[in-house]
Amino acid sequence: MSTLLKPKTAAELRDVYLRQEMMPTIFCDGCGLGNVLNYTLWALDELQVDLDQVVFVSGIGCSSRLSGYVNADGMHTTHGRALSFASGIKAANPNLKVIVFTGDGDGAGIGGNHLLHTIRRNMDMTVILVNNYIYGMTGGQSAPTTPIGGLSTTTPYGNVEYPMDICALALALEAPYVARWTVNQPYPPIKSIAQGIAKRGFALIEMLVPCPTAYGGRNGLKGVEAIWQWYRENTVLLDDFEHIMEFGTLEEQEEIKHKLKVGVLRDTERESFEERWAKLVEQVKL
Amino acid sequence: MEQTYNILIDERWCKGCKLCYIHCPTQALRIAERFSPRGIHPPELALVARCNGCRLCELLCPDFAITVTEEEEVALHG
Amino acid sequence: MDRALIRRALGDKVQFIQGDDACAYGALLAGCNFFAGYPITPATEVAEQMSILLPLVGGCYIQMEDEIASMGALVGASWTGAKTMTSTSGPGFSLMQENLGYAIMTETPCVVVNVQRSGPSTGQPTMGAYGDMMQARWGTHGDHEIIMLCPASIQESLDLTIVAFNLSEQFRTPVLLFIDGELGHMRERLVIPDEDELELVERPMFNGQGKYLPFATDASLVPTFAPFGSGHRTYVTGLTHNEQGLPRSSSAEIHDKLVRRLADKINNHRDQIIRYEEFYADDCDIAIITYGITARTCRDVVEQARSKGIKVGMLRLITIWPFPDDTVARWSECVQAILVPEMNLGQMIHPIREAVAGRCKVAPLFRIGGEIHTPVEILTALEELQCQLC
Repeated sequence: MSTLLKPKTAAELRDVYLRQEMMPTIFCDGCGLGNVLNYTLWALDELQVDLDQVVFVSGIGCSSRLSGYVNADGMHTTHGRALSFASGIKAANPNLKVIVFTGDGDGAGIGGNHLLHTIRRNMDMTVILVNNYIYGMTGGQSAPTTPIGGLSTTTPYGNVEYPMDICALALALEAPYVARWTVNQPYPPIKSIAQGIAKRGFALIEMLVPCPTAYGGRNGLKGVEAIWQWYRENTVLLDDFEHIMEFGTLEEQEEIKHKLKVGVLRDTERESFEERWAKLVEQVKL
Repeated sequence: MEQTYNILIDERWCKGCKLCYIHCPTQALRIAERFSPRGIHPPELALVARCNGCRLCELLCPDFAITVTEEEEVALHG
Repeated sequence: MDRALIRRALGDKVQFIQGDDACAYGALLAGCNFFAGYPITPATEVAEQMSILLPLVGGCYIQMEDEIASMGALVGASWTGAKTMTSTSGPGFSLMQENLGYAIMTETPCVVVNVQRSGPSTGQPTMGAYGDMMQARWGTHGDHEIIMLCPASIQESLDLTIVAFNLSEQFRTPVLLFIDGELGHMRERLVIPDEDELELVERPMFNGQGKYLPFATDASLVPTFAPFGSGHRTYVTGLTHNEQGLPRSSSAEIHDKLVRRLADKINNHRDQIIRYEEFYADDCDIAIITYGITARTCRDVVEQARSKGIKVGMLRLITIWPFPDDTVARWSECVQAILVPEMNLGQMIHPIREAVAGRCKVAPLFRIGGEIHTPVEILTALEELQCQLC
């Protein structure tokens, strides 16, 4: 006879939070999108959020399928426009919690302008932007995040364009919460997503997610293990980075210089659009 | 008496990506020879003594297919 | 929303205002509590007026980064139960097309005002035109029906905006209200209707009995609504979906059933949607079929022509889509010729010709450049037509 580990197990989690009829997911072997879903649900569980008051909004692409798996109100919108729909939902009913799943192509490519302005307005929502360096759903075309030299079906000789740092954009636009994580370790992103959901105002969580099918295979990272390993080797915790840059040897510093920094990049307070609008209405309402 | 653990695999959802097997810190898992109904080789707990119940496999599973269970000591005492 | 507040926000019962403002007034009277928009000539005043009015009554105005986002915000807000509107002109309406299709597919009530200007492209921003009539019909991709209304006066801009909201709520579909730069910026006397003169329609709500299937329908073909946050955990997608709302994009059967229902819910209720105005329908040899601001000049000319012995009647289309082809067909059986003045190079003349089906002559009178037809121009065309018939 066996008992389940407390507080909750994956089996319990999926019963509470998933739309059973949509499972299993459509994601490929070794894709990290399922992990993003998994971590988001653990974060919701940690916060004990009332699912009836949460709306999951997404655009188009692999990442945007995530909204359909959660057993809550959800809106799977048009390509790149998730934040516009989400802004409408939140502005019209500020009592709802809005969580957006988007991708690098969806959120930063075609939807880049909406990302910029939704951050600027400081709409109270959590945006989990899944970056896999590629357009996966359409079979592997270059994205605004594809590294220089990266191979894709539309950069067959290597990508010549400079990639975009999405977190840097959010920081420049004064988003009150900005974090970047890999999916390799569950606990830091779970905690961070929970912080993002609890944050009033715009929270951007960029999840670096392996895409073995459309990106890894073409870029010398064949198989699940190789591409997951790449993320481990090419990222560094922000705290470690700062520590090494201050106290480390030159060799240590040289080694981490080019790595992607992961961690909470900003956590501050800023009045949201909804709060400011409510104040305005209070002032002028007849 | 040592606490022991088991892992339950939901074979409807497991895609056989092996992430659990790759990441297990104590290398307690192995990939089964047999096929699941979905036609993949599911993971299984090979070395019960090695599993320390850390639940990394459960948390890392992208398909919500693994649940780690505690084996009750009562049963072990008989 | 508090009706008394709305009346107070609108002010005097009789006002001298422009068409853009009248649309905003109509929206408020209809219960619109959410507006998302982007500035564009000659529609900007609708947004400006909404930005003044909505905070006064506790609604929400949000200026989006473009018209794509405006249309998206409208749909999102509508799913929380809000009554929503946006306003734009040709270039912005082009940008709205994809999300307009999403609103059709997801059966989302919302109202889109298009204060038309001359195109293509940037064209003549400050000049009126009716160049988007066909874009309204077929601008978004895929098979669909659309509801569109065309007022001809400032008063009607207000009245029909209320009707647009009502139809949108009743049939859970976007409704287009099209005026033009002339009507939008022209000032006229406006009488704000009293509360007891208003008839407001709300979307059919889920009654809480049994399991909620968000896209299941009864004979009305319109599904019942439960807003986000009401605990029904609705999934809304632009993909082909089943009655539960879940994607079934590979099923020919489900797609066929869904898309035909979306068309039928409008086509089966044409009698409730179609509006027009007739003059001398039973006593004319020549008909003018027109709409929008052009109809005002024509109305004047009808009397002039009749005083000169030309037996002219007039059919003014108020509902443009779905197209009143039965009505046009009926007219074509009674007259020898139909004159179609339009402020474009021929758009509504196509469905008119199709409805006429060769039963009588159909003569175009197209004018572009931003100026409305002169009475003389129309009268001359009628005289020429009369000569040809003799």
